[in-house]
Amino acid sequence: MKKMITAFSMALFYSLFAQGALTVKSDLSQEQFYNGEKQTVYLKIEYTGIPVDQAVRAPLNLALVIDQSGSMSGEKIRRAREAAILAVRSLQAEDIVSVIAYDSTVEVIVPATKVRKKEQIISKINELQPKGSTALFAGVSQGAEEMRKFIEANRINRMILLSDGQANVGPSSPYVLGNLGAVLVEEGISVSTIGLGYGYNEDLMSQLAFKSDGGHYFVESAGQLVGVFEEELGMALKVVATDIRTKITCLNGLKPVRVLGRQGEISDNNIDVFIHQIYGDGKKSIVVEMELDPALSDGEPMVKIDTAHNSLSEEKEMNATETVASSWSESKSKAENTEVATVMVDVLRLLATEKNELALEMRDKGQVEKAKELLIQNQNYLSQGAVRYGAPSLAEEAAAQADDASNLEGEDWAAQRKKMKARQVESKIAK
Amino acid sequence: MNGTKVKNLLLYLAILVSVILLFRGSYRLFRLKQFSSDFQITQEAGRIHENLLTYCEKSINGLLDESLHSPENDSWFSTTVLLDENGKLKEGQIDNLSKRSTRVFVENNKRLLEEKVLINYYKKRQNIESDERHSDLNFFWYTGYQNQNLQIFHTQKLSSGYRLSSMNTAYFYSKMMVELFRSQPALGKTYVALLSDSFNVPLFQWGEGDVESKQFKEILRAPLAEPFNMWHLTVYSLNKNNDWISVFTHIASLIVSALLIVFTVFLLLTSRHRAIRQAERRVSFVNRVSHEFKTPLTNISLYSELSQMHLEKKDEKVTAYLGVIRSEVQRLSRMVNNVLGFGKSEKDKLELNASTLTWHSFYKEVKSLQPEQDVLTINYHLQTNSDEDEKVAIDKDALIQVVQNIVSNAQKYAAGGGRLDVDFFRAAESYCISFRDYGPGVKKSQLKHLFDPFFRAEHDGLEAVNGTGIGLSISREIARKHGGDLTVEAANEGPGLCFILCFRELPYESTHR
Repeated sequence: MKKMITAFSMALFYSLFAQGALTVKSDLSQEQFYNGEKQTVYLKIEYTGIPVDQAVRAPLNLALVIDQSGSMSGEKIRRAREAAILAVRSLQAEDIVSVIAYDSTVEVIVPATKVRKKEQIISKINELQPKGSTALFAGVSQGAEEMRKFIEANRINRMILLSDGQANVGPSSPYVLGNLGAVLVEEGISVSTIGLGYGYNEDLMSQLAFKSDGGHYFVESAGQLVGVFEEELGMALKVVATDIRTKITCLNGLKPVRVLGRQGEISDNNIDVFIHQIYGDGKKSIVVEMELDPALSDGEPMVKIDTAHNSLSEEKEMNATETVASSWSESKSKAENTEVATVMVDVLRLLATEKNELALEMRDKGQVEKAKELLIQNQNYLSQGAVRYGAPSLAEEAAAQADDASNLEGEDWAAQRKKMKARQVESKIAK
Repeated sequence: MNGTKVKNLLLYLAILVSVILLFRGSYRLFRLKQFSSDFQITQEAGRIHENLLTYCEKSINGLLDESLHSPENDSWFSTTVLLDENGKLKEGQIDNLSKRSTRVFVENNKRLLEEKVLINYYKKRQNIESDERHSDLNFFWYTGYQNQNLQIFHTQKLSSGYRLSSMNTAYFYSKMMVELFRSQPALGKTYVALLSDSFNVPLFQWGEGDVESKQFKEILRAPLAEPFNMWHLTVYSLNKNNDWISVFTHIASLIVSALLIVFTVFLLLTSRHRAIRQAERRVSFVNRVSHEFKTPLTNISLYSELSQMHLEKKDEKVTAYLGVIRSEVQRLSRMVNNVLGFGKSEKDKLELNASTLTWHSFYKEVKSLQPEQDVLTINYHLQTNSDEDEKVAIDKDALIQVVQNIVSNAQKYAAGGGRLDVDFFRAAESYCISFRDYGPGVKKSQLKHLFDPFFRAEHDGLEAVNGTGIGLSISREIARKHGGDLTVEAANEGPGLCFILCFRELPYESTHR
């Protein structure tokens, strides 16, 4: 797998190569482009993690940051304890775990330590008792501080944050929490956020997860907590590559416009995109919108892709350079017939996610009818796409839009808003 | 009786609860006793405030310093731009802004840049510093809020112009939280300290408790030093007035629970007393009435005797009737005497009158008794292994009284069983009769008390059954006078009780009294 396959051809409209812990597949949205006018072109780079044997997986550096504010009393705290204990039980001796509980203040229940004496750790978790307010920011900060003691290149650094309420002690704006997520992911820490019940701030929790490339879950009832912890931990254990850096250079009439869903830095003809981690058997894609101006081209439209990542199993940095090119066509309709479905399906999903976010913003401003209209448009757009590209996944997305549209008002809105946020994050970074 | 039991149980429960309340109250009062005076609180709060304020300022300044001296860590600053002497962006800065974050920064801070806020602040600060402290620091920190989001700028004078850096506040906050967490002052449960921002949003809390609640009272509040002078450190203490109120409520609740205990104990004692007094009154009434019966009974007896003598040969039938009346009256007199004797608790005076009859005729006599109520099927049975003509000297009337008492008890308490088996049998020297009912029976713990005077066993739903509670104790006395006994035990099989009456012939003295 380490051997780099360099596929380079002017006529090649897609490329597929494997290196290190990943396979990379890159496509442009069409095999041919009409040479008569300016047009929008999309590029999709899809990474797939090559799974490793779980017995030799990379060691985990896990921080469990648990809300023990007053509102967590009863079944919630019981289930949270149960879920945290389950997480500890499924760890191995080389893994690191820390447990932080926060209410009005922060308590380091278990400082970062190798998982050697599980029973000791578990008995401490069992002492969690709900009281006071919600100092979420301090909790996350302290969790990160514990993790910093053990951050190494070949560890999977993951924080799982559980909260059921509004962060009322410490900074609580989604903007600041998003920035915190961005800082943490730079340090190699992903924060997965689990919102429990209907009282938590989904904007804050989803931003933190989104910016740190972690998962975001909306858990309606405490009974589901154990399952979600299990799922999240299972994901964390499957990380095969971290620190995936992608540099895209647009050539021959192509100009970057924006990155869909993810954050990216654009300068001149270059786009830099950072993905924190990729799971074994998991896919993550980068979709870039570009403008193609035939008048500025002095050859076939082409993108050069430089990728680098840290392979956890081989404990080294991997690099590769790849080129994807497309040819010109004299006929507009002929060119349009060469659309690549796998690219367009992702493009449609991400564009629809943007509209979904816009609809949520409108609803927040009280424009219920406008939001509904937009969601229904979105639904039609997605169902047409589903038929055109033969993609059941788009049909599912369409159904979700309809569900959103019918729950913009009344009792179900609070829950629906949380569902929307969770789905948006998933669409943008988990797929 | 069931009602009384429930009532007693409730009373015991009330006592238990009151005692618990009393202990809890005393404990709390004891704890509260430890609160201190106003002066002490202010002093202690002042000390805490001073320590934490110093700590906060030191931590924050330490972090600001750290941010400047860790160039390898680019998490601290999000953007850096160069300005000319006039505070304008240097030539080419915007064109060269390759990073999105820088562009965003310039867009977001237009006003700040145009109005040269930072440069002016820098100049002002430098004037103050060089005048007052003769220092020539070439940089300053500036803090402000935009859309309620904290901004921290670092302005440094360069040889030509300025370098302006914007700190990543999220990173600063998280570092600050960790630093503040390191300080864990001993606040007990009395104090809470809070660092809050310009919008009164709590940033960090020391100590447990919700300062928004009425329990806490603000004692001391002061701003931090520049550049974080828009932040405040506040120390709260548990509200003392509140404490006085709770002292009073505690004392009041203590008194109430003590009174409750006294009252319930009193109720419990009086209800016991009342039951005993009632029984005694009933007996003394029976005694009085029985006493009143004596004279008429004697007269009836006397006159029926006289009439009998008068009519002796004229009308045999009437004479026979008078004989019956006389013997019945005599029986009644003895019963009255027995009751009286018992009432005076002079059991020895129990008067017995022996007559000689055959065991078989006694059986027949008992069998011919008409029960007061017809609620039970009574099955009489005589073991015939004995000589039918064997004679025995007993007080027939007294023993019949015993039998009647037992039968009447069975009718009252075991009617539900529908049946009563009365067996006559011989056991060695004794003559025995067993009475086996099929009623609900009596708890084992109560069985031995059945013969206690005034004792009444608990019977579900039978409170209405009347009686004095002395019948069985007299009956046992009669049996014992006959050299036997009256005992009771739970039936061998199934529910119900089995009374066994045994007696022998009366001793000589009794026979001739």
